[in-house]
Amino acid sequence: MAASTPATQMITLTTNDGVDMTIERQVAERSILIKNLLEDVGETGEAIPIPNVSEPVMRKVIEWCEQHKKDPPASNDDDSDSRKKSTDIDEWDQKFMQVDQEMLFEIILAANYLDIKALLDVGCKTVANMIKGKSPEEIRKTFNIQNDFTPEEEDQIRRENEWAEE
Amino acid sequence: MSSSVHHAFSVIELVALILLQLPLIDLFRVQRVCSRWRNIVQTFRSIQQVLFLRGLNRYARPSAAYTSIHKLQGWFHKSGQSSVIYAINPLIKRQGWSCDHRDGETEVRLHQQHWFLNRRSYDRPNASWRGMFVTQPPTKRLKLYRVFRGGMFYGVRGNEMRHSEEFVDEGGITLGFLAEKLEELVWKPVRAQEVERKTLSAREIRARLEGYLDFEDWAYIGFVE
Repeated sequence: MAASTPATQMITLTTNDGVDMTIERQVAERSILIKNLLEDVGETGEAIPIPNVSEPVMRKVIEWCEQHKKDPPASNDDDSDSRKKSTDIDEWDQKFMQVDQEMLFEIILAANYLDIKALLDVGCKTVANMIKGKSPEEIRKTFNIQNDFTPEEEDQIRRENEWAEE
Repeated sequence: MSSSVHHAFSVIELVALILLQLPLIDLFRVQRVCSRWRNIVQTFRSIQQVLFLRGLNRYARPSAAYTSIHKLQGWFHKSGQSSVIYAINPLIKRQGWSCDHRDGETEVRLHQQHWFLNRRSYDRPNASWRGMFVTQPPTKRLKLYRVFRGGMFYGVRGNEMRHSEEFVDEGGITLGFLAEKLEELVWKPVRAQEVERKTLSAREIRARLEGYLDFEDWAYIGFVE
């Protein structure tokens, strides 16, 4: 079956706001969810509903998949080689992730749902870079997180880990 | 506020994935952000392994935690007899200590001036660094040497070595354990000697030194398998 699949085969996705998007199958298959769906249902030519992702977010995700369509397919193993070289975010991905916070987290959620491991990694790294070196108070402000510790609890955790702040 | 942030942070697996990308030191710090983050750092096996607080299985295939550790500091040493690769706790490097590997042992040289216990925040009995293993996977045997002046560092093995002690902890040697032993066997005698030295005149000191090998305030630890 794989041999009979032409490189430019197109498929259609329907986003949760009802927009049909037609893209290359190879690009869509960066998503393990879509890849498995296509394998399961076969070539019906029908649009595939993506109920958790809206059109603007899907556009971003597809843009990423287009850029990375030639990358070696993600394996299920935690291959140390592929992780080793991903210490930093590559330049194109960095630019790609220069979006507002809402969109950044939309992309992370979509990558998680669609099972696009490499995109999820880039998203998580981008957020981690926003956390790195910040004080707990600055982190709470950045992401609007409620401090739900009692003063005693917070003091105890601070004392345990204060060495890490020097 | 933006809803996708809230949504993403409500999925603990996603928070864990994000936190796993942080340098080790930040991982300790973010526990103060909120109870959810605190609980994730305290309970996720992969995060605990990155923090050297939970041992990696020495024969397991490289895991996410293993490669994260590699990424965080890249200090690996192959043990001579087995094919196990050890990561040295990056806190050891952070102290400005040097690390070497030879003859199937990983050796870390410590200098008194760099010992982190001199700082108040490190000194607390419940400070979280104490529970960290000195290597990952955790080494069970630790050799502690005192090195004396009068022998070159690399010449001291064998003939010149003095006062070597070996410790075994089946649960894995922790930094807290190491700190205790160093305090007892190295720093306490050094301090005692310094106090004694201050009460002597320069001539008396010289006279004494001629007869003895003087403690050089280097210590070195070996992780043995």
